[in-house]
Amino acid sequence: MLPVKATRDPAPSRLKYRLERLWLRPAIRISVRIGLPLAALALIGVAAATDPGVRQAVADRAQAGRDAIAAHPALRVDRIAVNAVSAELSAALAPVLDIPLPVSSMDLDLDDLYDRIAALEAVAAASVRIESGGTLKIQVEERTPAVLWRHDDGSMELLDASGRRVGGATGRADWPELPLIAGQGADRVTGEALALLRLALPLSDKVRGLVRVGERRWNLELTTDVVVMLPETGAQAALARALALNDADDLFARDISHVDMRDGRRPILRLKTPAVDMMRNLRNPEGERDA
Amino acid sequence: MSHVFEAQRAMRGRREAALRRGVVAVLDVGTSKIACLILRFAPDGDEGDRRPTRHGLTHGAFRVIGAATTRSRGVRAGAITAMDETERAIRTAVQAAQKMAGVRVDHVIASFGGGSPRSYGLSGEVRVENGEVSELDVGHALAACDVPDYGHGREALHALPVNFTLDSRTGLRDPRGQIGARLAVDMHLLTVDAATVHNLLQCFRRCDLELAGLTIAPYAAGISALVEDEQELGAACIDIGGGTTGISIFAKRHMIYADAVPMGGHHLTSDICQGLHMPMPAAERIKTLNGGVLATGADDRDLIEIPSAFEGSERDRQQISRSELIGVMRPRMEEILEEVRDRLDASGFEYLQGQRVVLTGGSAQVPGLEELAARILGRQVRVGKPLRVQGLPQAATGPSFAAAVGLALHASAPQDECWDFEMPSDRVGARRVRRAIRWFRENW
Repeated sequence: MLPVKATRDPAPSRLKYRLERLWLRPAIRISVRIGLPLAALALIGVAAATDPGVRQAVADRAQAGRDAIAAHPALRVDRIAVNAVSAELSAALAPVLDIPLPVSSMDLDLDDLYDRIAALEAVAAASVRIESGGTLKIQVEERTPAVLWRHDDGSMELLDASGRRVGGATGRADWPELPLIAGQGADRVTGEALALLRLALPLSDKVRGLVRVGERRWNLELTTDVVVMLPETGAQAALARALALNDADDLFARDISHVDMRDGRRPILRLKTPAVDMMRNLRNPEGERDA
Repeated sequence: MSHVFEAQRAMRGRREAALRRGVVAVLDVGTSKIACLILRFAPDGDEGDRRPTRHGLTHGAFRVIGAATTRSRGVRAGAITAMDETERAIRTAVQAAQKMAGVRVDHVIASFGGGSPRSYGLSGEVRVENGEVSELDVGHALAACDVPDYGHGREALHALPVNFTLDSRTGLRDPRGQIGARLAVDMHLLTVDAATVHNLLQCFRRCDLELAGLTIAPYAAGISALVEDEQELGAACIDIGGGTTGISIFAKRHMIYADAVPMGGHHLTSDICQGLHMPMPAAERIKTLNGGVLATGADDRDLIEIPSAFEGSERDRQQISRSELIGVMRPRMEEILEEVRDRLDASGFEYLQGQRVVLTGGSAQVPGLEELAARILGRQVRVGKPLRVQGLPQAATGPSFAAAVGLALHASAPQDECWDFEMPSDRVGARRVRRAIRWFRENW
């Protein structure tokens, strides 16, 4: 009689035997026991991170938390205090400081604000800080215009003593108290120009301005159409000498067009045409024309 | 004999690889059970400085970390008859041992009981080339042995140089470095059925195992069951297994003869089964629990209850006396021992110094066998248990595990075999060159 149910073979099947032996390999064991859970975790992490809904939710939560902190009254800024500045600078600052109040100090980018204020031409130095009591305090140091610089095309700029641009100017008449300089490269040597002009202060009513020639030396132009040509080096000494000549001999009132001080040994004068004729007559009273 | 050399050298290479890896399995494929031990060589800590050398490790430098036994299937008289069944049994044993050890084994050293081993004594003689015996001279002497025609379907399993003679001095264990003119060697060549070996190989291949060594069970049993004095002076180990009874004779620490009788414990069981009319499992059980070979007066009154073939019906309960059982078992045991005696006589065992006989194997546990064997063999007989090795479970210390334990000892300290010596180049030279050329062609 055959048994109803075949007795189970106690031997492992070949597949089971092979799997068992595979499982006894340390590399396989470790990779399954540690590598597989890690891989699953990484997979879940990647899937969550790439899901736009999850990302949106995370971003929303983060934003909400930040907003909750930013809404704290201690962080609120509801006043902007600017130290006293000129009307022009106030007008220039107005678009920069156009911040809707009240604002949380967490939303204020002070560095950016500072950069934008410092980038204004009329501002020499600035400090931006938030003070207690919700005040945004802005300290601005204004640049003061020292000279008016006329370009060849007739447009004008205001420069401060160091030659930095302060702003544009529409006409000479708006700034009657400022001296005038002209010529290319004049802004790089404003210091020297100012020194020369200070030296020429005694005849200030007659000074028209300084002209930079060839980006290397100055000409002092007077309202009497006299041009004092100054050397590249020792311009101040040369000017002092010319002024001394003027004091002694009333040089600039004479019929000359140029006083050339470039030669250090002696000044050279260029006469106007009538004066040349007169000189010739004085030398030749007979009126002879040299052949 | 060259291809045998190649195969054996490949096996030796694998064995060394296994020793270097430190884990190897030994597998005793018997007729009644398959035992698998997993050994770890040079275990961490105390014996870390004992590295494997060319000849393996010294005795005892290993530890058994896994052991498993399973009922053998598909094996008859020590040879595989049903490959599938045997493969399953091997898988069971190996898997259980691996589970216990917690490591994976790839290399296995195996022994088997069958294959009708046959021993040949060979001798060769050469002139020593340079006055001093070198390893090459030993190789020459071994190569000079005239190999008998051992038949087409047989394979050389062991070729042990057992004795060296230098000029007139004999009994040298290692002639290397000695001065002499003529070197003679006695070699013990053991052949087995090629089909048996190939079947076993195929079986291991199907289990994804690599064979790193192969011996016959009586040799392995002798290594573990004989104590050193017995191995030195001469003793016979009789491994009475399930389907075969193996005989191995040792002298001077070498196996000098091996044989097998295709009878064993299973024949006792089938005799009980037929003679006393009971099912096979019951017969096996009664043989194990109540068996014996020497009857005394008390045995007539010792009644044994036999479970009926028709289960459940209370009426036909049978009882036999123990002397009846002994009456069935004894003739068969006598037959086996007489066969063994004939083989021993044929081998020239009586010329050895010591003539002790050690019985081992599962069937050696039958009570009274010692006296019976002493009477039949006419020699001192004892029942040998295998040597104690580290980490062996208590259940695996009985005589039935002699072959498995001996295999472990053999793996840790293998004896020099003929193929461990360099073959003279005139025998293998052409082959070597051809192999070198082939290697170049394949790799460049």
